[in-house]
Amino acid sequence: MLLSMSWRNVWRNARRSIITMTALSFGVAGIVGMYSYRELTYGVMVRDITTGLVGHLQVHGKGYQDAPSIGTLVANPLQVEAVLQGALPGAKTERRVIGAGLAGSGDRSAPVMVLGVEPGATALYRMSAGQDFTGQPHEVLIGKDLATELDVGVGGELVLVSQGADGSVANDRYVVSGTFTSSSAELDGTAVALPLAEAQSFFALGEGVHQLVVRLPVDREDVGPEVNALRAALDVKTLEALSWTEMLPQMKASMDTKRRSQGVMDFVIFLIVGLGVFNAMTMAVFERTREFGVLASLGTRPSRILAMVMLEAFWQAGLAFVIGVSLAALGLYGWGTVDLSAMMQGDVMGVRMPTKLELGLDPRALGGAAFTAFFTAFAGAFFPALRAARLRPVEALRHT
Amino acid sequence: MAVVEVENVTRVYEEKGQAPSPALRGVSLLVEKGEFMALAGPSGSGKTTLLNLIGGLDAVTSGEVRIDGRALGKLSRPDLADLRRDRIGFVFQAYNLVPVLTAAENAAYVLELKGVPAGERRAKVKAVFERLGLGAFLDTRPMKMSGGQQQRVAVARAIVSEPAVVLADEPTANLDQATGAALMDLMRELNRERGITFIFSTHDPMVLSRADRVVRLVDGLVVAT
Ligand SMILES: Nc1ncnc2c1ncn2[C@@H]1O[C@H](COP(=O)(O)OP(=O)(O)OP(=O)(O)O)[C@@H](O)[C@H]1O
Ligand SMILES: [Mg+2]
Repeated sequence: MLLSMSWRNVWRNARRSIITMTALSFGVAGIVGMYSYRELTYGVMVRDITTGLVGHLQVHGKGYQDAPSIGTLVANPLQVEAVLQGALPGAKTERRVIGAGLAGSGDRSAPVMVLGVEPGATALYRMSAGQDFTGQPHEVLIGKDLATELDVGVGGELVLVSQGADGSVANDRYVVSGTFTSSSAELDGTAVALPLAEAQSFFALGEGVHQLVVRLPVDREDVGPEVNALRAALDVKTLEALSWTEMLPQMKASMDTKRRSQGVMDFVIFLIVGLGVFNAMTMAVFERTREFGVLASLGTRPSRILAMVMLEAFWQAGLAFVIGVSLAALGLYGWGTVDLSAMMQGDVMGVRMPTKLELGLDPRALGGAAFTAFFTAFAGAFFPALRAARLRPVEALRHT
Repeated sequence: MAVVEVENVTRVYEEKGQAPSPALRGVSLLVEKGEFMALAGPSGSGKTTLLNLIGGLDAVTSGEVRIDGRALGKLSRPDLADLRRDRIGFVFQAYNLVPVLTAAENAAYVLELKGVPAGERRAKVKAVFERLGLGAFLDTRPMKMSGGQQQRVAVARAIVSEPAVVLADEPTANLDQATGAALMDLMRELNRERGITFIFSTHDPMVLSRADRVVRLVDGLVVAT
């Protein structure tokens, strides 16, 4: 009876309840919609970062992150990989060499980033023309935009000049076997990729590599525990282990800032809606003062009257939650996919925006929105409900 | 034993900026089980005030009210609510049915508070409605009923849980003579059949003539029993 009485009371002044629920619904829809959009975008960005260029974690020679130098190496990467497998079971590792150099083709030249990658093992690039490493000597892959800049195509010849780790001059001729695109506009415009062994000999590194990129069998943003586990297992006198958030601190910071500012906005939205609930419930309670007196005279305990008024607000919150989530779903699925890279050209803090983002409801948004809706209804209705419960029966009965 | 004991009760209304006004100035009263008693007296003599005190809706300034020997002054708010639920029925001048509930739900409300199972509630309400000539109105909302019908639903609500005493403050004041007389006859019959104790207030000679006993209040004092 308590449930059905409070449900019927919702519809006593249907117009007022509908206005309250509309406000609550829009609040829910806004929170769910914005949360879903934001977190899906971040999810794709983080996946691009962790599966692509950066990985979840990296192991470097000590000091490399702050001052990358051709001579700062992970000297025996295979040994480190073995340790790493013990500390982080299931992790995949990838060795990388990174150096700077000058590339020339015909009469054109450009400063380039020379990457040494494990053939077939890297998730760094996708071929856009030609083919991946085939095992032939002197193969090179080249970023698509760099290829355009140097006016060199598949089958063309590329000369690389640089300095080895030992101070010697490094130079060699290569044949372009393919062009690639990556998750970074910078790489597309400046990178050439050599097979790892080729790069190691080009820069005279021996077995050494600059980065050991680690990918964890998880899909999440925070890899703090793993990084700590890794640090505990490694020889931190000669090596450093970093999470992607430590390597791209501005990215993580900007994500967290956006989340916080949206949290503030959510709060403001619901403060306003909460005041609306408060106002509506205050009026509802006031109009029914006499009825509360009657219920009290029949022997209704104050706590039951409080519950009845609160339930009335919860019904509205529940309906508003369903409607708000439906609105958000309609908006998100109706919009479908967005191309963020079209909105933001180039890299945003080192990564290219995902080209295709499938919009949808993020289930994590629902819990928060439900909590906010019910909490708002609770906060808005509590004082009116308390007022109803504490009415003195005689006075309430005299109310007209 | 007396169902209702009122012992030297005063009730002084104190309002800011006004001199305290004593509505009751030392009233004592015993009401035995099964009485059909009227409170009479001019307007402002304290009838409503006294009924509210007996019903535990208001607190005495001094003195004591006991229902079934339990002093109301010592009870907490929830305990007072439980006492009203279990021992007291109210009939108001303005009917005061809950508009979102049907007639039967209004009558069943107290039974539900007491935790009576739904089937039993329905059966009890149905029996009482039939007795009061309301058989056709079980599922009707109060808004769609006449004043006399609504007041009969209010009587059903007051008696269905078999309280020790029913307090009725001018129950016929909003009804025409014939309807009022019929309602009084009905309450009288319930009093005889079921031994329910009734205390009602009135100005109406027709109502007074049906009472076993008339207690007259003037200026907050009992003048004749
Ligand atoms: N809430 C109140 N605040 C102040 N004074 C009150 C209050 N209720 C009643 N009074 C005063 O107490 C006295 C008794 O009032 P009460 O309502 O009990 O009289 P009554 O006999 O029921 O009158 P009526 O026949 O008009 O219903 C009156 O003088 C009235 O003005
Ligand atoms: Mg009165």
